[in-house]
Amino acid sequence: MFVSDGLAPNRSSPEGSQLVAHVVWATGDAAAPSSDPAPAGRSFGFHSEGGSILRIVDFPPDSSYDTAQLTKFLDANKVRATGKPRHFWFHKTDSLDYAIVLEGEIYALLDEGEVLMRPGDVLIQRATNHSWSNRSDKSCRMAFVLLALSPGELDAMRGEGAEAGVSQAVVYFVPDLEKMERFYVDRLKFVKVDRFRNMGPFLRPRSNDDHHVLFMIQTPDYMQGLEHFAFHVQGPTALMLAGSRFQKKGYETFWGPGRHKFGSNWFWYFKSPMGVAIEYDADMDKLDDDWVARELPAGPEHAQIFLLKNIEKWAPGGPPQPGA
Amino acid sequence: MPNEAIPAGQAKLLCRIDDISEPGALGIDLAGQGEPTIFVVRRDGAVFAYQDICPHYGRTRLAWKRNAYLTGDGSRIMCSAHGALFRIEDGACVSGPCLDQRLTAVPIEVRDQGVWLLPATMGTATA
Repeated sequence: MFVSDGLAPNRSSPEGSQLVAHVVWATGDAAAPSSDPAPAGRSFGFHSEGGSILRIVDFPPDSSYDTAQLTKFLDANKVRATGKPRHFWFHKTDSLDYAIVLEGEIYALLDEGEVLMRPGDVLIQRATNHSWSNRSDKSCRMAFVLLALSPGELDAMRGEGAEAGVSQAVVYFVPDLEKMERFYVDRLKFVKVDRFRNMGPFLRPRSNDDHHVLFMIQTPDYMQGLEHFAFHVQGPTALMLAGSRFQKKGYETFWGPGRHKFGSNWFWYFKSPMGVAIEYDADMDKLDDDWVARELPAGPEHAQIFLLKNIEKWAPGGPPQPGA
Repeated sequence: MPNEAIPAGQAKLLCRIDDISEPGALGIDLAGQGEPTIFVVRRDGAVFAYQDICPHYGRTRLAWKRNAYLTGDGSRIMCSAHGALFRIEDGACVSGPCLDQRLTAVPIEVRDQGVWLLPATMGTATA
């Protein structure tokens, strides 16, 4: 049955403008806790955390605005574009917006370029600076579906993201694996998680539920110190974006992108001027104390579930040199 | 097989000497695969060329960033994967995991301010 068939009750207008907005429906934090999530008088921002907003907007001609008032309105909503925007409607929201022209026409402006949109035209606005400029003498009616984004999605979408956290895992070359393992397990009470036969265990401290923060590879004495260290990023998309940007800047891939078997984490390794690899990784398994350690022979078929560019060997190894 | 595209008996211009900083190096994408297959090093006016493959690790290229083949002081070629150091003039490994090995030289000639890949390399330049 139809609950309602009539004008949407939630109507608002920024001070000093003839713009009229109707919120037809909302989900997430901004939704009213009632049978109608968008009743008359309820105030909505530019997105609803954890949900969506359907907003119909009538944009009046640009000449009708009090632009100083609109600037205040954008500031109050914390969405105004910083710098010196070339149009007064420039703003940036933490949302993915589907924008559809219903009536009239309007120019969509981005940091670079502009496009004239007419009825039926659709623009997908991915959380970047944009503005709406109505250069006609008639109102333009648009429908917006405004979708909230998680911080990771937001960063990935804007291409800013993949803010690396602290270094989250490290791999050492060691001359005597058994001795090192005893030190970490017996003395420091690290938990053995999984093991590559002839190579060593993945270890985590008890206070950390990441699959591993430490792995060791036994190597001859000419291979010493760090093999690589890893930075967690927010997810596979952030990892792919971060790695692609790194590669475009001229940095050289060592291994990846791909996905590890032990830990299930996505990886992309790059070389560094230290002669040590640096890894972006994402989505590593979280373990609890009931975890039963697995063991596999070391080798590419067990180090990666998939790899988008193949290499034969993935780490040097070998017995200790005599006397090491 | 990086050199197949070169007709027999014809040297190929790799770069101009001035394209390489002093000291410095330049990766060259001979195979047109979007990745360098050889690199050219310039130091004290002399120019050398090697396959861009570390002898330690088979399929790893050396640079950590485009054209970054030398140590910070420009005195050695470095493989940034595991830190092997090589002499610029003959490609011999002087430190690191492949001490008894060397980079594969690519025969070149310097002529008219250009660095030329010699056709004689066609049989030998592939690893």
